[in-house]
Amino acid sequence: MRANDHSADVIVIGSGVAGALVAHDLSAAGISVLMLEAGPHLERWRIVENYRNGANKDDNQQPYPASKHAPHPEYKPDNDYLILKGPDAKAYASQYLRVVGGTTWHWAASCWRFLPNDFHMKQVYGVGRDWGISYDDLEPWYYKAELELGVSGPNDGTDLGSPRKQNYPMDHLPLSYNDQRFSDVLNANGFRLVSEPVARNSRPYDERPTCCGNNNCMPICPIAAMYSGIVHVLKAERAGTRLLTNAVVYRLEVDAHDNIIAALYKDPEGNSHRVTGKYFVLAANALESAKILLMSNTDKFANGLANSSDQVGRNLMDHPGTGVTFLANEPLWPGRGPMELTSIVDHRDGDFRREWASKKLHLNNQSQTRKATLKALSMGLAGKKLDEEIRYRASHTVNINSFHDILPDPDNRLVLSDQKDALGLPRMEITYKIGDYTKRSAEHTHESYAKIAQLFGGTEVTFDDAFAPNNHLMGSVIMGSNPKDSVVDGDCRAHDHANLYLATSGVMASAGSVNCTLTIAALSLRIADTLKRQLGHVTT
Amino acid sequence: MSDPHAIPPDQPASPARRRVLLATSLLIGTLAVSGRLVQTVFADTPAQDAAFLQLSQLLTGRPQLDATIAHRFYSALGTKNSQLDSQIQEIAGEAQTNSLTNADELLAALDANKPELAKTARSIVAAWYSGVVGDGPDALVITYANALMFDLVKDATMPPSYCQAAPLYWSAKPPLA
Amino acid sequence: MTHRLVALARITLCSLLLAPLLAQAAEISTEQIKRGEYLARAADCIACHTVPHGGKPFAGGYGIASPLGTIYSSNITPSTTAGIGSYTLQDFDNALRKGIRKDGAHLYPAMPYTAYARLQPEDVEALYAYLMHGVAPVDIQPQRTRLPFPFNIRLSMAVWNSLFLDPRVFQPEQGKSDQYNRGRYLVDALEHCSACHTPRNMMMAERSDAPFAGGQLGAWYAPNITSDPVSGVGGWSQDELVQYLKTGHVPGKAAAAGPMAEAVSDSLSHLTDADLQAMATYIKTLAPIRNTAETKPAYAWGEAAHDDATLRGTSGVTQSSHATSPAELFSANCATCHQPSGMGTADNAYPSLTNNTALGHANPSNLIAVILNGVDRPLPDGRHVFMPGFGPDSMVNPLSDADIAALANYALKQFGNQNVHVTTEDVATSRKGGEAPLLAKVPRVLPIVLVVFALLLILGSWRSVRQRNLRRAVRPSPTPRAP
Repeated sequence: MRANDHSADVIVIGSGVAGALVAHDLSAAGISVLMLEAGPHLERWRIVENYRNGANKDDNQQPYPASKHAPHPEYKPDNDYLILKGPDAKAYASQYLRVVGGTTWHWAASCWRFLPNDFHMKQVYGVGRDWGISYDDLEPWYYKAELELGVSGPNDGTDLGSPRKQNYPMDHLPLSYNDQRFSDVLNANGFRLVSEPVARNSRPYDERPTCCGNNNCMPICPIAAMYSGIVHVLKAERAGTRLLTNAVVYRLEVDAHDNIIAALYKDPEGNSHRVTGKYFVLAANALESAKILLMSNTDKFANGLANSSDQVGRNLMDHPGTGVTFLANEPLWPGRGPMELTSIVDHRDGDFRREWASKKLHLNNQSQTRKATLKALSMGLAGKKLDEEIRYRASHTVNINSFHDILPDPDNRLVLSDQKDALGLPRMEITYKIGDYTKRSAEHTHESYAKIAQLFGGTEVTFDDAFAPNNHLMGSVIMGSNPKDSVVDGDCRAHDHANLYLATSGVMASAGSVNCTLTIAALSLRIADTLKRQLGHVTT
Repeated sequence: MSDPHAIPPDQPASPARRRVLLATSLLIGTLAVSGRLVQTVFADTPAQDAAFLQLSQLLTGRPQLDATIAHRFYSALGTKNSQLDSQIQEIAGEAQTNSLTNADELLAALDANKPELAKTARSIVAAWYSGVVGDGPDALVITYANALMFDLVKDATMPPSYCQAAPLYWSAKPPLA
Repeated sequence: MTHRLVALARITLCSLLLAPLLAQAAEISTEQIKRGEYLARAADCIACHTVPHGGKPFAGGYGIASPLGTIYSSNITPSTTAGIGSYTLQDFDNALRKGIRKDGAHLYPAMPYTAYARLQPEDVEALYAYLMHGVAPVDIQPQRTRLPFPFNIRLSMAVWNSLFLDPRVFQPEQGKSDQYNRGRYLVDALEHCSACHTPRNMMMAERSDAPFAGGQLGAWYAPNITSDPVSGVGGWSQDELVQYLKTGHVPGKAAAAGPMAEAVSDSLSHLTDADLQAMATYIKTLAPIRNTAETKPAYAWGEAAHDDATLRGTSGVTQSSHATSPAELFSANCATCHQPSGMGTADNAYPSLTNNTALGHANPSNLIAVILNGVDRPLPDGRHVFMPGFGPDSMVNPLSDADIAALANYALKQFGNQNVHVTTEDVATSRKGGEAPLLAKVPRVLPIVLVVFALLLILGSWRSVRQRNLRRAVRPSPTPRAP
């Protein structure tokens, strides 16, 4: 059967990195795939021009104007798409994109594997939850994901804590002078700073060019040297996937055997359409996927689909971030090369995780010219003094940020709001609180920041201690071996529906201390493999 | 290590700059040139454009400013400041009367005597340096790559989204570092 | 008359010396294998006999998209089942220089045996030594070439050869420097430059009246490399030519893409500086041929763009996939690397679009082909020049034919030859591999082709007899054919 606009073997909902990887892998195996995307297709070149034309260059969402029919969060000005509540509401003011290709259009492209212990937090450290699968189950898929995304990493034997069987597909990118100096100073003073694995080309790879260091990973890599989900959307389409854009899925239908039989979507005019398939892969990011399940309630499934455990929408996690900015006593010139190259990894794992959150700190290598200029202008300077001030700040500014682990808490949750969006679909109400487990770690991070600032003779040391979102949305459709307290099993299949798979970071049962994209990619490729077997296709 | 506050030596004039130099020459009436650039500048309000460009040169300390961009800044600032023309005259007058030839002195004098004019002068400076007129939702982006702030650091970094040199160039030591 | 007789005597002597050499292979030395390896580089065997990106060296199977259909290269590893393992030196010489396989079948002239015919015996022997002893055997039979009728009749190549194959071995030209002669040998025999740079006639043979005057190769144009200062490379210095051959890039002149980038990557960049100097020396002497449509050198066009000063704040922030102007398309797709001015980066790693032959020729093929297919030019020193393509398979920005035409016209007007215009159809043609030559349009013109073919058969047999007679009577001097 070939996919048409109405049916396919596999219906994939969402065209981000997760959905696109599944669609591509299945299409390449000759399976018919229909992929639905709520948002529009944006041309990379248009996004580049939007960035250059836009006034607010700090806003990574700005070059991706939201669609009326499929809004995504916008904050400058705030479109109130996410209704945020709770003591740490602002720390969940997440950014994501509802466009073809998904949110990896803008990311730092760091491609860490989780640590073996991240999968067994309860068992090893007595906190959080266990995934029900182990690192070893995922290792081959991590490698396949690294090949698909094109990951460059340290092939020099650097131990990043996640055992590898093969080298990274590409050698790591050389460090910028900024990162090199930072690395030299920190490693000589008790920190452990390493070269970070990234989905960024250190040589031509997959018909995409080598990174040229144009320092614009966020909000858009103009030359596709950095991986984005759009790469596999293009590949999937060329392999036969049929993509429907501006198709806002609002309900999954179940039959008498609790199997999903159809997905209903609205077009931008609000007309409803129905597509059918044998298998359904929900890959619409952690929040939107949970929302679709909650919206699909029936008499039998009063709390929504896949929700007999009442865990859909709960356990929301991110990596609460804090930061520090200071002026170093030497010119470092951030802004040369990609935006992020290194990480401080002393506290990614250890017995301390019984008491406080693991974390990863990273140096920001983003150009500081614009911020330096705005600051210098605000000081009222002009002429030579203005020039000197800008140059000094642009070359001496150090900015460090962090990802902190957070424990899955059922009270951190999203529910459907009474308020509706333009298509009449409920908006999401999110309640978020960051617990002491994370706060204790953040206090320790503050001390590390202070120590680092001291090592560089830092002046104007400014701590950003208020937790900021890092947009790593996890936990909403959490994985576990017990159907009573989890949404999906170790294969990312809904406990309640035999033909429904969730390809989203929402399944992740712990947050760890690194961004979740590579893990999503690995899980998605594993889902595709499961589906190929289910559909009787030989696996690779 | 050299003085971290040092300004890099003047780069040889780029072709774009050379063109502007021509236009500047015309302004002081020593050279007649024709062409698209000059037409753009003098099409509608030659006197005001010339005055704005001259004042901009003084306020930025740069004799070679892009005339096309100057015209767009002038228009954009005008939408936000109805007194712009007269204030340009006044600021220029202030500079001439007191023989002030650099921005520091001029702004100090304005701060002391005419704070309103200082504000306008700073809005002109901010436009040239940031490429943007105004802020918030009403901000007008006039130029990105040609904002002076990027010219100031171009020996080390580029405007983000533009490549500086061959791939992997960044491991080399930046200038003055 | 005396001169001719002397020449005849020399040839006879040559043949006498050659015979035993071919009859029994001399002992193989490591040095000979090494020399053969270098010669194989210089002859760029690997370009066609290895599938790019991971194919086994010399195992063939690379599909050469000829206008007549895809021709698959042979396995030239010493495999006895799939390669040339059972070839004697004589068999090898027949294939290399006469285009005849061991089984007697004729090769298609996608194999440049018309150039290799000039290879000197000791070089043929070294190449043989290398391929038989320096290359790992691969027992995989490459795909068979199946051209449509009438081109599937390989015997037709015998007729073609009688018309277009000059079997004479290269002879150094007396009164010329060693450097010149070495260069000529490299250009004419090993590197087979004329295979691309000389235009072809209706029968797909190199036109003897226009050597090196520039030829169309599918979507690409191999420019005029005669010493003409306008149409050719007369305005290039010797060192510039050498740098171009070695790296594929001379700022202010040209950057190699397509088949020339392959030639640089696989062959020319591996040659010694002395050999490259020799090639340049000879190239500088090629008789000038002017393309009357060209008024100034292809590298002498263009001015920096200034459109960025008016672009910002005019389109705003939008979801639109339609560019408001070609300048916006340029800014969005090209300016990141080539800079808003189009002048490239200061280190020339991303080349200037002004003073760039891809935009300066009267023939815009290379500009279109580069935008569609990009540039891929790895060099032995580890540098890898790579520009992504913007055609339908692009992983960066797949553009429509119309957008590519608009982009090309913007670039031509601003940075290149303002007399040249590109249409959407030109882009579509390039995307399909270029305009097919008359001979390839067989289905449409089959009756005409058959008549011509018959005439040629008659003409061919007459000419081959005549040539043999001529060869017996007159000894051609090794001077180049008159233009």
